[in-house]
Amino acid sequence: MNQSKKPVIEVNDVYKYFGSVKAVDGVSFSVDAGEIFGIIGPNGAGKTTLLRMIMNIIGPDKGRILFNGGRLEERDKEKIGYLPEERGLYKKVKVLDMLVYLAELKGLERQVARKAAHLWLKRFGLQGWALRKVETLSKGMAQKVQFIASVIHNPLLLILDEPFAGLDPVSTDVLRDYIQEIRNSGGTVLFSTHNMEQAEKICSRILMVNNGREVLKGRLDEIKERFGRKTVTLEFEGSLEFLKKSELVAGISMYPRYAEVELTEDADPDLLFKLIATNADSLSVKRYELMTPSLHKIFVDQVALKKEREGRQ
Amino acid sequence: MKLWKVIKMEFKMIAANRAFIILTIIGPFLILAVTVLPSYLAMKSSPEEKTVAIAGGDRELVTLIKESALHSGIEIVELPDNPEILKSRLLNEEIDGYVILPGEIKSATTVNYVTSTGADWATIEKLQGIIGSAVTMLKLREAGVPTDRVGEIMTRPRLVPKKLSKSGEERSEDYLTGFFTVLAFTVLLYMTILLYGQSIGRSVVMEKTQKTVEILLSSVRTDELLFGKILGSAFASILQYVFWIGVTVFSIKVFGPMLGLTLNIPLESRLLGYLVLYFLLAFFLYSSIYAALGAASSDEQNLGQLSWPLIIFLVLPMVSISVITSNPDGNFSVFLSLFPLTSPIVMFQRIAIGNPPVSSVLLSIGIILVTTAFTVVLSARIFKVGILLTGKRHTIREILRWLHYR
Repeated sequence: MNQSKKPVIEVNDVYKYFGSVKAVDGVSFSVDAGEIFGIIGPNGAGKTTLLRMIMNIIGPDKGRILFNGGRLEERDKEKIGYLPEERGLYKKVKVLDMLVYLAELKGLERQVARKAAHLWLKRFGLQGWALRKVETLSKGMAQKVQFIASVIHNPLLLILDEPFAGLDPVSTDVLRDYIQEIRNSGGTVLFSTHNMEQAEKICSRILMVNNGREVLKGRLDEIKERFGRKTVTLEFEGSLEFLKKSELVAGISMYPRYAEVELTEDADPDLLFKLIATNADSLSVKRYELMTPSLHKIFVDQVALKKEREGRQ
Repeated sequence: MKLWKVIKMEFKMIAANRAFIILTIIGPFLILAVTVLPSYLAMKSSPEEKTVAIAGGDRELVTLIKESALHSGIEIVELPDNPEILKSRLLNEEIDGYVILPGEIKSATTVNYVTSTGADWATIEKLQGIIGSAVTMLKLREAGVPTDRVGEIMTRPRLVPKKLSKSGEERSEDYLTGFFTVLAFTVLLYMTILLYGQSIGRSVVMEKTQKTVEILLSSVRTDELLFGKILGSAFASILQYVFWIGVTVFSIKVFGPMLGLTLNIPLESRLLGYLVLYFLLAFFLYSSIYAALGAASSDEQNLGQLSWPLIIFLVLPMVSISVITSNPDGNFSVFLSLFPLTSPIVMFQRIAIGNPPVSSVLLSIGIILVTTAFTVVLSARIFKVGILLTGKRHTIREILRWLHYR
């Protein structure tokens, strides 16, 4: 896989409308070689449409998409691996035949494809299933086979659309380990997710989208630094009502035994700790932790901010 | 070439399907059942002799009726003119029916024939001839025509239908034989077009329900996937079709004479050639439409609902068969033989029963080809958008809007 730091994918001011629905509305970003890039946003934000345009499955109405510096061509598909959100395999076909077919469509010779398929099946502990029909696989096994199909041709860029959706915790770990492995070997991964927690654990850079538009983009650590307010996580028994009136507090996400307290811009976390200590009579605190804000929080804040600005205009 | 790989995979999936294999094997038996069985049964079952009682009428007339009925398959018995006796004999099934001759038979305009089961048209026809000739002979005798000349006067020529083919050859062929030929091949065309068209529609829907489509589109273009599926399915279907016709023709030629049956249906190579030609034309026309419907459907049930208007055009030539065969060059037949969705079956019907002008045949082929090219372009557009939209049903309006998407 490519190791240099030039962009593998460049998306320049791309638009895609379906009738009156603006699925993608002027989005630009680039993915550098060797990084893990995340497109983040809620369902219906336009993530899949963006990935489909990068895969050249649908064309943009406006804007340009470059692959390795040149205009994205049909033959570039052979250098990209794609795991769509809506993924499945022919039920009545043998696992090996399915993998060989998909690898051949990616330009591999039949013999090379067979060899690669056997190797990958062995790697995922599925060597005994090569000659069985896809319909005999468990859901977890089928997901592994789908993943193999996206990497069997050793692509320059791997695109994963909601890769963790529907995965059980064990499969999630297996997939995350593999994405980590690709990064360690210098591979490039572009993936989309609505699960911000997963994105926080994996990505080096992100693009946040909502209603087809960019909300934020850049390095994850910079974004957190720039947009995040300090947050205190509390596990408690009792009442936190007194915090709502405090000048230190900008907002609280309250649950019965858990709360995320967002501090105002210049507030000192120590003062909050002291405030809680003075109310120890009505409260028993099990955990007090100063956190950097979650991506989820930043996203919600930024979307709200944008709406407010648009409302003013 | 990626298209070739898609074709191969599609062919493999269809040909390895158990239902396809079973249908390939039993297909010829179904075709034989439709084509040969009726003529075999008609040949083996010689018409049953009927017993008809005559009551009333004078002696001379009854004698004449008995003479006319010789070798006709109807046995005439004389019974007393007593309604009670006639009824009880009929209800006891000793006779198949009875006729009470009116006293003034020579001036009678109608004569009643009474049966317990409803009379079949063949017996009525014969009985009408028998009684009619006897009455005419009686009248001739009474008019003074010498008895020995009556027979000669009564003789009349029989009309024998002959069909003149393009090559100038005349051949005896009655209307019913032609009708059954057309019916058999129409059923065959109808069944196969519907079968293969629906199979392509289902195969496209399957890409959506089994969620394979987006993985495939990350490697191939939408039109490569669409044409790969249609052509892969076409190879499997044509293989099955050729196998069916081959086995059927072989069985008829080899086993037919052994069983002592001659086939009423003329299996000329020219007609078989047209059958295959119009089958192929219909196949590609309907396949491209069914593929688009498949792409626009959310599941098989939805496909069934969307495709029923199409079935009307396939059924139309079946229900109009008597109109088309009795008047193959009439306006209705000519229109249906040029309208693209009914053209493959109806033009074949016209060729099988009559002699449509070569220009009409060529025109129908041209119209079907142009329409197919047009539907392929439209289908590719619908396919391109529809194939990626899963889990939701779409209105016709939405589907038409897809045609404008890039």
